[in-house]
Amino acid sequence: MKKKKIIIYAVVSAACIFLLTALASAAATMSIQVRETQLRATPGYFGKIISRASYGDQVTVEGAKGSWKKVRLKKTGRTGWINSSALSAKEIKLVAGAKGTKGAASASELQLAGKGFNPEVEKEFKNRNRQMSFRWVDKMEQIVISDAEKQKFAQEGGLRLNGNGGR
Amino acid sequence: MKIFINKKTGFILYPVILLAALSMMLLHGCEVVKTAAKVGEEAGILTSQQAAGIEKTATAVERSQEEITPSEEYYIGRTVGAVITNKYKVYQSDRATRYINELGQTIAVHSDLPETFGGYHFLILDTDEINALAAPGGLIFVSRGLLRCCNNEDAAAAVLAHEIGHVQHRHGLDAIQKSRITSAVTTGLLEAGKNLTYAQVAELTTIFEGSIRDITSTLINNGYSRALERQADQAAVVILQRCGYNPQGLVDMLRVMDTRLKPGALDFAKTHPSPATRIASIQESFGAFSPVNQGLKRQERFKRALAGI
Repeated sequence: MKKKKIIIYAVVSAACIFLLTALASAAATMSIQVRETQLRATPGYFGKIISRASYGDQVTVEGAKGSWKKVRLKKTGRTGWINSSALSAKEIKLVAGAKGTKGAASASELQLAGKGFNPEVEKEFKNRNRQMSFRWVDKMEQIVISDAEKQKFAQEGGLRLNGNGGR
Repeated sequence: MKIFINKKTGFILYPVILLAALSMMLLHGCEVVKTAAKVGEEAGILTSQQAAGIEKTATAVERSQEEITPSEEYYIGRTVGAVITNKYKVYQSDRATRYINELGQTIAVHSDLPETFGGYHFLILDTDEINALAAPGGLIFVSRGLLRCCNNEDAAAAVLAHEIGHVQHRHGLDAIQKSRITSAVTTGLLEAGKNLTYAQVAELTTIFEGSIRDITSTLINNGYSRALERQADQAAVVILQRCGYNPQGLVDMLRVMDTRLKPGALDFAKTHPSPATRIASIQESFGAFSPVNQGLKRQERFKRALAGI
C-alpha cells in the first residue's frame, strides 16, 4: 500500500512540476507574426516608437496590459510594448525558397517564406494563371496612412483615438 | 518492464495523466503526448483503449491548432484581391481612395485585430452594384454603388467597419472547405523548417487555388451565413463606438440601401440578409441609437472626398 502511495505522489508531483515549468517557459517566448511592427514606449498605438520588429523575430514577454504585451526583443535587447495581434505563441521558422521553382526568389521573399502558402505558392499560382493581374493588389498595399496622419484625421473629425488597439 | 497497479489506483491516475497529457500537448507538441500515452499503456496505468483515446485527441488538436497562419492568410488575401480586381474595374480617384484609406486604417486601429500580416488597405470598385468584399488579411473593396448609400462619414465608416469585422473574425478563411485546410496543413506541417520540392509547391498551389475558389465564390456569389453577417455588424457597431462614430450611421446606410437594392442583382441583394433584417438584429443587440449629428468638418471632408462618387 505504501509503495502505491509513493508512486501516486511521485506521478502527481512530477506532473505538477512539469506543468509549472512548462507554463513558465511557454509564457516567456513569443514570435512576431506580422511583416513589421513597432515596439512602443507605452501600451497603445501612437506611443513613441522605440524599435521596429519583423516577422519571425523572437521576444521575451515581461508584462501585459489589456491587449498589449511588454516585451524584450531578443535580437537587440530593447524593451517596449507590442499589441497582442502582432504576436504568436508559436515559434515561426523561416525557410529558404524551394529548389526547382521557376525564377529565383528575392532576398525579401526568402525571408518571408514560411511553411504552407508562401511566396513560392503565389509565384506558381501566377505561372498557372498568367492572365491574372496583381497590379491593383500591389498598388493598394502601398497605401499606408502614417500614425501622424491618422492622428490628424481623428482630431479634425472630432474622433476618439485612444490607440489601445481595441478590446 | 511492467509496473502492477490495481484498478483503483489506475482510476485515480488516469485523469492525472490525461491532464498532464493535455498540458504537454498545448506546450510541447503532440509527439510527446503520443509517447506518454504509449508509456502509460506499457506501465499498465492506461488500458490500450484509454491510450488510443489520448493519441486520438492529440491528433485532433494538432490539426485544429495548426490553423492557417497570418502570413498564409496574407498570401490567400492577395490572390483573392487579385481575383476581385480582375473581375471589377477599379475606381481611379486618388482623393477618394486616399480618404477611404484614412478612414478605414484609422478605425481598424480600434478593431479587435488592429494588426494583420500586411495591414488593412482599401480600394473603391467602379460599379453601380451595391457591394463590398473583404479578402482575408485586410484587403477591402467597396463599390461606388454602396458608397452612394452613405450620406455622411459615420455611414461610410460603418461600411468599412463591417468589412473589418469580417477580417477580424477571419470569415473568409471559414469559407475554405475543411478537407482542404487539413491537407494543406499536413503538407506544411511535414515540411516546417525544410525546403519544399517543386512537386510539393505544385501540390500546395493546387490546394491554394481550391481555397481561393472557395472564398471568392462565397464572397461574390453565395454570401456568408446570416450568423456571420450578424457578427460583422456587431463588430462594426463596437468599432464605431470605440472611435467616436455614431453607429446610427450603419442603420441610416442600411435604410438607404433598402430603397436601392434591386431584386435578383448579384450584389448585397443576393449575398446579404435584407437591410430590414440587419437593422432589426442590430437594434435587438444594442437598442436604438441617437440620430447622427456629426461636426461640420467631418461632413465637409466627406463631401469633398466623395464628391464624384
